[in-house]
Formats: sequence, structure tokens, C-alpha cells
Amino acid sequence: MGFQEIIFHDIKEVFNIEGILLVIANVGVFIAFSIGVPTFATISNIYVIFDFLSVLGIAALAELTVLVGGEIDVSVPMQMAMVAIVTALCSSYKIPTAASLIIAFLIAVLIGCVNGFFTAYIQLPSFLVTLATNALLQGVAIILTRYSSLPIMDMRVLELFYRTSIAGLRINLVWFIVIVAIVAFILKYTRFGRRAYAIGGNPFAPWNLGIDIRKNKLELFLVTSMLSAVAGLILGARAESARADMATAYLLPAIAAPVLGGASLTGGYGSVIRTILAALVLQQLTVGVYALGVEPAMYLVLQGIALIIILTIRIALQYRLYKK
Amino acid sequence: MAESIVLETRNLTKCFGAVRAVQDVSIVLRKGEILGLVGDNGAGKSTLLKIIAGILQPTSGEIYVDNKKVRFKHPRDAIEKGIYYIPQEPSVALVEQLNVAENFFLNNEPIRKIGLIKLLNWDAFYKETREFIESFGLRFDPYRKVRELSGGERQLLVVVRALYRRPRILLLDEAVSALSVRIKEQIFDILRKYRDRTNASMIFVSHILEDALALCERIYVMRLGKIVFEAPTKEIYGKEELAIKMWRGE
Repeated sequence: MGFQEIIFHDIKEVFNIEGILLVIANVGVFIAFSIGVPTFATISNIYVIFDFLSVLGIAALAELTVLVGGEIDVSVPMQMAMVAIVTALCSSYKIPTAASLIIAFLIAVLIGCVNGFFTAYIQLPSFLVTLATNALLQGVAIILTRYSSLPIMDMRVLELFYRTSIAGLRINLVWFIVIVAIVAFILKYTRFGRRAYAIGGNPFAPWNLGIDIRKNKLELFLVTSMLSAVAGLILGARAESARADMATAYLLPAIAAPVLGGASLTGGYGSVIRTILAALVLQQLTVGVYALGVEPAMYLVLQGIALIIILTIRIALQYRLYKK
Repeated sequence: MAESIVLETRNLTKCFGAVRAVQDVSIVLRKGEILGLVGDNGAGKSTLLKIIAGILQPTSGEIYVDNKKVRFKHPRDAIEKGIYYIPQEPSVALVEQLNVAENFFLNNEPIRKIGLIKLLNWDAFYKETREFIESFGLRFDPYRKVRELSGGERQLLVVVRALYRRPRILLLDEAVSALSVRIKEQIFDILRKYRDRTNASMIFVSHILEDALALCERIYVMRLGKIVFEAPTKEIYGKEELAIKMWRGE
């Protein structure tokens, strides 16, 4: 027993059949688009893919956190937009950067508390609760922006989330890497994270052993909201503006990525690394379709087809697993 | 034996709507005693046990632990008093998606402190699980997922996990009723060893009189929510028919 044995089992667990398939899918999609689009396999294009991945990846991790606990949050994109809109409004009133970020994150905390409270303590289905908060946020966002886009005029917000580089990496990628590390750490090395898997897998077991599963669930929604806030700020800082519908397109891929990475809608499963690998496949598809120059809506068609194919493969693999 | 009383219920009643699942039940559990609670399905045995474990709330009546009145609102409150509950179905007690070691240490995770940060100590997870399980002569791969274990292995894991937490009172709710004779014997053996070593007390609920006779020192028979018979096991031998008559309400 020892360090190496544990690492060996961890790697085996992350790169199970699904993990290997995701690596193959990434390589396959990359090669396919490189053949179809001459500019696809260039450093600058790869940079673009990862630039976009920073937002999708963080949004997907936000979703992963609640999925592990057996819940879902469909209000993630609206939370992202809301945080960006609030920051834009703050900048138009010349509120200091620190204060406006605090306000933005407090709003994220509030949304997370509402989602978590009604799911965990009132025991409503999280799908319905977050659908309701999603509608609420959408309404508020439209009222605040009046169907237009608000500029984010606070230079320091733009610098903090998009416009600077650290050691050659643009800051949004630094945020992405740091957040991947933090979420992976929380899920693997903290009691809170491991209990999230237990609560999602079989809530009776941790409850019988004395775990306060309601509190843990509420905290999961808080983590989701904080991550959504960071994703929203990066998205806003890249566009230098905020609109009510700026993040709507992230809903499906943000849920799809953790699920493709092995998370189950009923909870108990989910891996950070596989989620990021799946998000990378989806992000390559987006960028590739745009690069192909076909109708951009084709991306939605492809995304739908890809999802159904990959999920079918997964179910088939699971059947084989249980038959053995 | 004038051993001290560790747990006592006084006039416990539990109603589910119009159904009185447990009526005016008063029982005592002494230190180091393995107490049997037998009866037909629906007699109220499990309900009584769940009230003691803090899983259900009584409609009326009191529970005393070490002669002090307690009120358990959450299983956590019972666990703080050293009372652990083992359900019939290991699927209720274990998380299938997690591995043996993670289930073993659920809500009891080993921690390593680095400065202010508390990290899970994965080394201890696997090492201590393996060592403790082997101390009972069992073998489990701590990395195995629980969904890959058989029903008997799962129940063994649940029992051993409870013992690792050093319970003073162990509540077994039909814990062996669905198991083969071999696994049943194995679990009885583990429970007796633990009792002899720590002088812990146990309440063993079963609808199989033979199981209770094999393990317990004193037996209560329940029928329709009430205690209808109580006797030390040695007095029941030879008089099983009487106990069964009381059981059936004849």
C-alpha cells in the first residue's frame, strides 16, 4: 500500500473506458477538422479553442458540482449573464472595482442560496427550482438591460478576467487552470467533496451515519453559483459588455460535458478531468463548424447528433459492464 | 446479573396516521447484553428500533440513555451517544458508487492537516480499512466498488464499519434475515467477539425466532405494536411453542 498504489487506482478510475473514449474523440475530432479546415491545426486556432474552453469548462464544472450531488442547475447560464450585467451596471455608476465584484459575487451567493434552500430544505426537485430561478433571472436581466447590451467600462474588471497575461498565458486561461485545480481538489481531497458523491449516490447512507445532507446540498449550490459567476465575468470581460442572452448557448454543453464525462443525472458519479475532456470535444466542434464556414446553426445540429451518439455508446458500455 | 441499564424506553408510541405502529412500549437494555426483539412482519419492531436510532420521531413516550432522558431528532444525535443502526438492506447503508474504503469511512474520514488545510488522508483510508477488516478474519479489497460486492459481503462491510466506530449500543434491524447460514454465523461470531471485548449492548430485531435464540440472552416478543412476552433465552428453550403462541396472538 502506498502513494503509488493510490495514484495507480486514481488514474485507472479517471481513464476508464469513458475517459479513453473521450481522449480518442478529442484526437479524432481534431484530426477530422484539421483535414477539412487548413487553418484548424494552427497554434492561433488552438489558442482560440482554449480561449473559449475557459468559459465552457468553468460552466461545466459548475454543473458537475451539483450533478455529483444528484441535483441539476439549469440556471447556470442566466447566473453567468446576471453577474456580468451587474458588473456592467456597477461600472456605469463608477463603483470601485472591488466593490462591484463583491456585489456581483454576493448576488451569485444569493442565487445559490435560493436554489439550494428550496432544493435541500424544502425538498423541491432542483430541476424545477432552477427552472424557476432561471425565468426570474431572465426577467430581471431583461428589465435591467432593456434588450440591449451594456458595456463593461471598468478597465480593471476587464484586466482581471481577460485582458492581461501571466507568463504568456491570457488571464482567463489562468483562471481556468486554477479553477480546474480547485474543483478537482475539493471533490477528491475534502470531506465536503467526497460526501457530495455519497449524497448523490445514496442519500440514506450518509444521512443514517449522521451527515447533514441538507447543508451539504446547499453548499454544493453555492459552489456552483460561485463558479458560474467566474465564468460569467470571463465571458463579459471578453465581450466587454453584458446582455441578457449572452450565455444562453452554454446551457446544453455545460450539462452535456459532465454527463459525457461520466456524471449521472441521478448523482454519485462525475470526474473533473473527464468533464474537461468532454468540454474540449464540444468546444472543438463549435470552433470547427464556424471554421468550416457552414451555417452556424449546423453546430446545434452536430451537437445534438454528437450527444445522442456518445450517450448511446455509454449506455451500451454500461450494459456490457453489468452483463459481465 | 445486576448490570446497569444503558437504554430504556418508557411508553413509546408511534402513530402513522390512524395506525398505531408502536403502542406504549417500555423495554430495558442492560450493559453488555444482546437483546432480541422478535415478532411477525408489521409488529412494530423496526419502527421501535428506528425511533431509538433517531430515524423516526416518537408520537409520545421517552427514551433514556444512561438514565438520562434524550431526544433524538436526527441519526446524528443517536450516533453522538454511541448508538449505531444497521438496516436489513445494505443498499440503504452503503453508497454503491463509492469503493469499500470510502464507504467504510463515510462521515468518519481520516484527515491529514497541512497548516490550516485539512486534507483527506487517502493512505489511511485504504490501510486502516484493510487492517480493521482483516482483524475479523475477513478479506476485502478496499479499492473495490461496493456495487461489485455480493449481498453477504455488503452486510459484512456494514457490520464491520459500525464496529469500527466503537458503538456502545448496536441496533440490528433484521440485519441477517436475508443472508445465508454461513454469512449469518460469521456475523454472529463477529458480534459476540465485539461484545466480549467491549461490553457493548445490542438490540437484535428479527422475524426468525431461531436467529434470536442463537444470538440473544433475553427476548421480547412484539405483536401489533405491543410487547406481549419477555423472557431470558434459556427459559424459552423447551418452551418455544409458548413464545410462538404469544407471537401469533393465540
